[in-house]
Amino acid sequence: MRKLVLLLLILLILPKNSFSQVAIFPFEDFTYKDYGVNLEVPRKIAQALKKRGINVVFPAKIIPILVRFHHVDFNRLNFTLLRVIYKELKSRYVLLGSIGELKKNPPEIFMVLRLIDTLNGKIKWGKVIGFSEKDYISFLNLKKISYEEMVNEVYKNVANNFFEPKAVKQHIFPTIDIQEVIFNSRHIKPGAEIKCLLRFYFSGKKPDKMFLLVGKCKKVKVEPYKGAYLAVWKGENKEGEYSVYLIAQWLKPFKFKRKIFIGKYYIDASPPKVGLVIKGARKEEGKVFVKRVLKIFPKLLEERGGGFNLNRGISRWKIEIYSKRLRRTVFKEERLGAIPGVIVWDLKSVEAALPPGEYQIIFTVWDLAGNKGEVSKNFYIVKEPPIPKITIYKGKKGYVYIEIKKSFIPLIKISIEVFNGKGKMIARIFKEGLNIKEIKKKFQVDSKDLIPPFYFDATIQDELNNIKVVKKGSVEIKSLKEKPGYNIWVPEF
Amino acid sequence: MGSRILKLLVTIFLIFISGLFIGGCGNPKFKYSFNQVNHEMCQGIVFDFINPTDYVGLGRIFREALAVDLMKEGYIVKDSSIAYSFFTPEDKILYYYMPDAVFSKELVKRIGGLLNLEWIAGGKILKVVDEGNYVQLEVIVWVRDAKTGQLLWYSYYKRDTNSYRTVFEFGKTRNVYMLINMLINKEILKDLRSVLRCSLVE
Repeated sequence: MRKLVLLLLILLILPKNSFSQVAIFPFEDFTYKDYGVNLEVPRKIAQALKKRGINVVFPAKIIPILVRFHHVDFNRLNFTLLRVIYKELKSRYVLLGSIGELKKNPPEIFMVLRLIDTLNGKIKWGKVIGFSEKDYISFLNLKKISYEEMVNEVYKNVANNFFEPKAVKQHIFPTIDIQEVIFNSRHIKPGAEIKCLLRFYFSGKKPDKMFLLVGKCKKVKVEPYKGAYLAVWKGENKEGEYSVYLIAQWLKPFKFKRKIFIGKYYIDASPPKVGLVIKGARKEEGKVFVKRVLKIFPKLLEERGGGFNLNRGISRWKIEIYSKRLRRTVFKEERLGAIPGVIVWDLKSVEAALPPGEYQIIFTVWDLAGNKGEVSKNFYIVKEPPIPKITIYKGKKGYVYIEIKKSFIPLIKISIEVFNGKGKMIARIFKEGLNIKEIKKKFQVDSKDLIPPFYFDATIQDELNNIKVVKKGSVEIKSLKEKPGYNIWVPEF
Repeated sequence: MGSRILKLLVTIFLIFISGLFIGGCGNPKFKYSFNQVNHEMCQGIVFDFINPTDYVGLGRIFREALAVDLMKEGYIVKDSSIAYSFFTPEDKILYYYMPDAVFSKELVKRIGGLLNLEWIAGGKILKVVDEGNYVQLEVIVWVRDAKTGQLLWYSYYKRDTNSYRTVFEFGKTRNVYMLINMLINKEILKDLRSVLRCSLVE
């Protein structure tokens, strides 16, 4: 009861027109198709309103307050700023405006004015002003409108049709708005420490109590820290998404509290699943063969959960290529951010240094919580086709059976001439086509010519287009009995 | 003979005049209405129209003009410049990078709850052509239920200089902003009135 009487007394003491002022903000100006500020038009409007007897606050007086609130954008307000304008400038209303067009020749204007109630953010009055001489049709061209006439008409029109401000008889509450929220990380491993730095805008009495409400019921203290506020707590053990609210509480005489959503964080314990696709290589029986360029396509196998992030939940990645023969890493790259679409490894630049043989790609990614995922894949560098293994099986009646066994990489062209110990050619084999794996051929040779040691000359080409010329390659000689299944051999194939 | 010629001339004149009237019709427009709401749709907010075009500020001017005109119609319109202060840092980043994706059900409901809103409107400017005396505008306008976050309605408008032309040069709009004003007053408000049913609006 005592409070009510006190409030009534205060309201009676207030002058009738107090708080009925209109604070006129600088206008946004898009005339030059860019973000600009216009002080001239709002000043002229303020003068016109003043002439009409309306109490106005000129834009120049608003600027220091906007600077205090770090407001470079006049169209991004908050209730704390509005309350400061209400309290310090005694203005219940704020006039905002945007100018789209303001041309002198031909005269054109387009602007929108909005009068906003500082107490609730409602648009109380507004006007869309538009004039374009291009669209203006004066009969018989009797009269043309000049720029000055146009703007004067606008100011007059605004003043005449302006909203009649009323004195406020309202008790206003203190306000709080978030200026900045910084989490040490929004993706955290279970049980890790979470730090949240907060900056606020206050108007009126600061809250008596402030704490963070994490999840449904966990309360975390918010304490002053170097001109800002800091909250520290231990993350939950259960994976998931947790909402954080700021609870600001005012005790006597206001007795109210505000709950502001400040964000979410995510407890994440699962390592990211990643896969590798290799292109620019030949794959044969599960083995990958490379000659020149290796294209590695890392792929995230599952979307990392947890709100919006540009890097699909990945904080950094690393690729290593390890040589099993050299027993060392021959290539390494580590970057921050999302995994790349493709990694191209040109062997041309490192060809001389790298011997053929087996290599291993190890691709590692870390998610935002620091969980690590890894994938590896082996491949072979092949610089020349493997020398085929040739065996001659001696048969009866001067028949010889020549067997050419492929190596680990398929051949596409092979031309072989087999010679005896005296240098006489006893057999010639030519084969061309895809995927030559094995050649078995039966020849009839004069028994006089079967003079060891046999050798061969060959030109071979593999699937990676490596070409090799072999001179005097060694030939193994075996008895036909050593060859299992020899009876299925055919003279030609 | 003379009366015949006169009749013919009158007919040609009438065809010409009707042609002028018809000239302003037949503009492309697609409207979709989804859910009906049971509650009053009086109090709301209009967000900046997403503007990927080079015409800086057009999205904001569109929003302001629509908000002012809705307020004049009788709706209680709150200024969306305040609503942005309720965006979390994540929302702000998302709004910067992917403004189309920011208005999730959760955000709409949260802002609706904080500002006590019944609807939230917004849109996107798809194309602007401003070549001397010819202007063209393609825009999408949408309305969401602030209580549930659901999309209630959206409409696509493609209008140009001649869209509101009546007779001769009357009604021709050669300025993009004037075209926006005409579009809002002649069509969008009318369409929105059927979506935003409010006892305060006659």
